[in-house]
Amino acid sequence: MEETSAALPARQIASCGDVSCEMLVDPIPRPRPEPFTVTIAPARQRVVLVDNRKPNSLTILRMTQQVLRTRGIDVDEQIRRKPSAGRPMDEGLLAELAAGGGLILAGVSD
Amino acid sequence: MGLDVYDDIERCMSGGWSDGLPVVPPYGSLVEDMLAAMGWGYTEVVGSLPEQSIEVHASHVAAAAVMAGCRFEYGPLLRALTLALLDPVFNLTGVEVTTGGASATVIVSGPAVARYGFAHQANCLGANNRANATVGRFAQMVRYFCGRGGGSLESHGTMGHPGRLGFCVAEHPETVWAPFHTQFGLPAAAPTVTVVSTEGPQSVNNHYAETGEAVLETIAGTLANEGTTNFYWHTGGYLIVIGPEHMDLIAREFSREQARQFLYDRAVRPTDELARLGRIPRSPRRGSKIVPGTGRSPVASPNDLHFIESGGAGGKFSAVIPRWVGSRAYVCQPVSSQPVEGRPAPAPTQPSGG
Repeated sequence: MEETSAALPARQIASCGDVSCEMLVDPIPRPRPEPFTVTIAPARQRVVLVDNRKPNSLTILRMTQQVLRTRGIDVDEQIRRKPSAGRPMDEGLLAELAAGGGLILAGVSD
Repeated sequence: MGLDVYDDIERCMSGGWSDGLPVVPPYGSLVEDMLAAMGWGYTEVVGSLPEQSIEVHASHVAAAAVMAGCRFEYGPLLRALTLALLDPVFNLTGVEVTTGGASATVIVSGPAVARYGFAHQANCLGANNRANATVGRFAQMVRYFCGRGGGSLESHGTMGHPGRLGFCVAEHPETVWAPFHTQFGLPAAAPTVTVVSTEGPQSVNNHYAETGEAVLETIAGTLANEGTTNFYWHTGGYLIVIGPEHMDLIAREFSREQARQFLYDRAVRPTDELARLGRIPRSPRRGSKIVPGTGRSPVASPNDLHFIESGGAGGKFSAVIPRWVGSRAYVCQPVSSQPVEGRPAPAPTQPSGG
């Protein structure tokens, strides 16, 4: 593993001399996500595919769709699409996927 | 430097508070002075990245500025640069994670260049100069600390480029065409800092051209190399850095608008050849405007080409900097001319003899 990816950065670093310590100022803003619910099993036994618009994403997802169907797995005909590979999924698509209740397969590329 | 400071540098390195290079430890007293210079209070929220559930406080960016080695006098410029970096249009999160390995590239233009002492002549794209090196490093630190450093993202740049450690370009204070930032509607006299996400620069060498047209044709050839990312996507663009000797030739024959149109017309490769090489997929997406049997430009419009005048007087070089295809924006911010608070810089010391 690369040295830089071994651990998350420290939350506090103190500069300590012989008799006293001074805290250094943390330069790193930390994520503070809102509480969310994790669902272990999807509400619907159906796979929903999302194209993130990266190179070859759509090709891979179409092949995935075929392979899953040959194995008897229910897959949505429509492949949803993110508006841009460089930006997060928009709220509308996120809400639609959350309401659908299937197993979402996204982030496939290259 | 005392051993304590050296120890603190090592603590920062081992604690992950680093871009890979040693940093100035962000002692509270230094960060306070930097905050004063930037005109912000410690806990003030200066931006947010909702896709990562991150709020960026002034203390974070002031600490990064200290760590990058910035002078307190840069405060107003760093404030403007911070606002540009955290503008949602810039898409800082995307810049951090993309396989494109993009940098948050800083452009300084107008009176800000002389005011802060930015180098704009020899080695303008890699100047060994305090302002260029530390301000460029600050922008990359903010990118990194708000992304992978915060622990919510992974960087996926396949290749990346050296500018991810620091990439700051300054324009000549006196330009032949209007200053860089006038391409985005700012007045010529405005001291300006701009941020744009880019790939690394490609040198353009032409020492024997006798016309501006020949120089522009050479630049067009560099724009339209087969490997350039934007041939298919058409969501990016190019920053063209014109060196002084090339500018002398080009300006005799072209206005900025004429040069832009000329490059757009000449930077073309056969679509069929691009498809044969695999630069265009067999089944292009709807909207990609692939037309077999025609030529294809690496940009969707002449408006995706922008110019900056920079570089040393000796040698007939220019450079092309491809923009990352995931962000269309140059985010320009005028720099306040308000005086800076904080501690004065110490007087330069003379090397001791012996």
